[in-house]
Amino acid sequence: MSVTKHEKLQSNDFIHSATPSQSGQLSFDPYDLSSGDEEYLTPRDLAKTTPGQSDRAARLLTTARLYLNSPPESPKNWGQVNPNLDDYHSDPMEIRSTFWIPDIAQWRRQQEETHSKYADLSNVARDIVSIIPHGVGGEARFSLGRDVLGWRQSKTTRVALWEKVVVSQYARANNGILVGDDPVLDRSESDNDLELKREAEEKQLHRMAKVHDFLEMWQGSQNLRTTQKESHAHNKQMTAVGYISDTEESVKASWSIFEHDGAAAFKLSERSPLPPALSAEQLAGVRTQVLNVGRIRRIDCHPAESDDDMAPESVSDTENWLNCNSDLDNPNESEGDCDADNESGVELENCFEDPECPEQRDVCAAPNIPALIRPIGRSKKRTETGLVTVNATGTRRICGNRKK
Amino acid sequence: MLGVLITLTPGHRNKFIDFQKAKVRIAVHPIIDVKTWRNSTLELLERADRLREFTREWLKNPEFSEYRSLYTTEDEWTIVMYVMEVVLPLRYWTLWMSKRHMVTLHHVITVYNHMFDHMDGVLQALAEKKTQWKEDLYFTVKFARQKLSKYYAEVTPTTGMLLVSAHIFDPFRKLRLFRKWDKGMDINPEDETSYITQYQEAFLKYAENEYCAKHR
Repeated sequence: MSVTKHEKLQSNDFIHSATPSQSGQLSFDPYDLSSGDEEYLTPRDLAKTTPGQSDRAARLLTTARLYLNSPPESPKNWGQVNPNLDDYHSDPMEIRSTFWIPDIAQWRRQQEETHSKYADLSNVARDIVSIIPHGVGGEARFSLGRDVLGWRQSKTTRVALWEKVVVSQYARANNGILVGDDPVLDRSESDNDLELKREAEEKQLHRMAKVHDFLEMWQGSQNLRTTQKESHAHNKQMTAVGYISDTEESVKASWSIFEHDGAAAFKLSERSPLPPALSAEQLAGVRTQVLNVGRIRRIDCHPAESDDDMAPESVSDTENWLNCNSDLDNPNESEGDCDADNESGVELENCFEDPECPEQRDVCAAPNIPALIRPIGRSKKRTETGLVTVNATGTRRICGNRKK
Repeated sequence: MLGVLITLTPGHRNKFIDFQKAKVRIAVHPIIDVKTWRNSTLELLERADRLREFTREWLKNPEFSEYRSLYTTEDEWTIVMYVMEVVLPLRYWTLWMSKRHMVTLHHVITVYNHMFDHMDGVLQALAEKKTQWKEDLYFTVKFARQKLSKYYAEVTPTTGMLLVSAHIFDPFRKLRLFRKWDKGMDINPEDETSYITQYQEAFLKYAENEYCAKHR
């Protein structure tokens, strides 16, 4: 048997845990066997184990090294493992002496029975060499190919064969019960069922909760109605008795609750919420942030009412404020420009109706002034010119008066 | 193809069986190759060789004269016999490894090497041939060797330790095979990268982790 196929067995792929040997550990010196035991039997490990177990482990390693360092056995009847062409034509299933001698199982049994120096390795050898090569993994699939598929199934792929073998072996391992037959074994199916059941229960609970809420609300409304009826009758009785008068009560507040201003505190509420108007001198070198009002399109308050109710100083404040703003935007604009403003307002109105007006809105840039009506969804130009105050209606009136 | 036609209908099959009557003890049909069966190709060829005479008689029937173009000539039978010789060791070792009477795991590496040796021998024999079918067979065997190498590479990383351990547990060989590998590659057996050193170390670690740790 002269087999020297070096490229067939790559060491890196074959043995992952193979590491370089330690000093003296892998040497073939048979007298250096005891030196490596200290590496495997550290004091910490020895503290956890009994002396008998430690001795057994050390003895096993010692036996393994002794076995590796000793030369191979020389059987008396060494079999011919390499067959010739005639042997290939023979039936390999026949038990022939040339292929079964030497029998390593028989040799191991003899070692164990005679308590030889390699007897400790018999357990390890029995676990390993008893593995059937064609019964494991991918080999088992093709070994069972003839049992699973008939010769008429010549087109069946190997994947289908694998699936069939896995299913059959799974059933064999579970006493003939397949996955779909037993809900306990069918985990995926049971998970799906549980999930569906959970969803159905949640839907049902949701529906029940709605009905329950509806019933609770209905019951609550009934109770409230009953209570209102009872209280209404009770109130009627109370009113009839005269404890509560139907006439309005006038509360005379004393001046003592106003600590500082007294009666002036009431005048604060009558003050206009608009910011105070700035004088022309104050606005000479300052550019205000308040935008121009080109055209007043909507009047929320009636001019007459506002004029009547408005205090003279408030009207003047509003008038000054509006005029100043318009003058600030166009300093050279005269009083007659109000008509131009109106015309521009018409143009703007047309622009507002045009959906393709290029200028877009910037509503957020408008000043936060009380009583301002902010145009929403309109163009920027209109936003700039469409700021309207409640009492800005006086502007038109003022402009008209001025025209006159 | 001829086997498919013979077994296509009951009439075809009965006619084919009739030709075998009084000539053989057991009349059989040709078989079809099943890709998921081991050695089914070799069995197909063997059965076809066995039924060669009856196939010729079946084709002589005027009813099946349209299939006469499928008749296998003597040259083609030569090719078939050559292919059978190439495939024969694969079936042998497949059946040999499938035995349950004795321990065979420690021979896995040896069997692989035998098959590689066989294919190398066939490739060497066909390398200088100029005949078309021999050239085709050369490339076929070459691909078969690559396939075998692929299987060998896929098996060894997963069950490598078991294979190596089983091989080492053979008391009549132990590390002799690995020593030959080192010698063939001119590697000093005492070197850390040698096969014998790596496998010896792996075997000791396996014994320590799997057995010594349990006894502690």
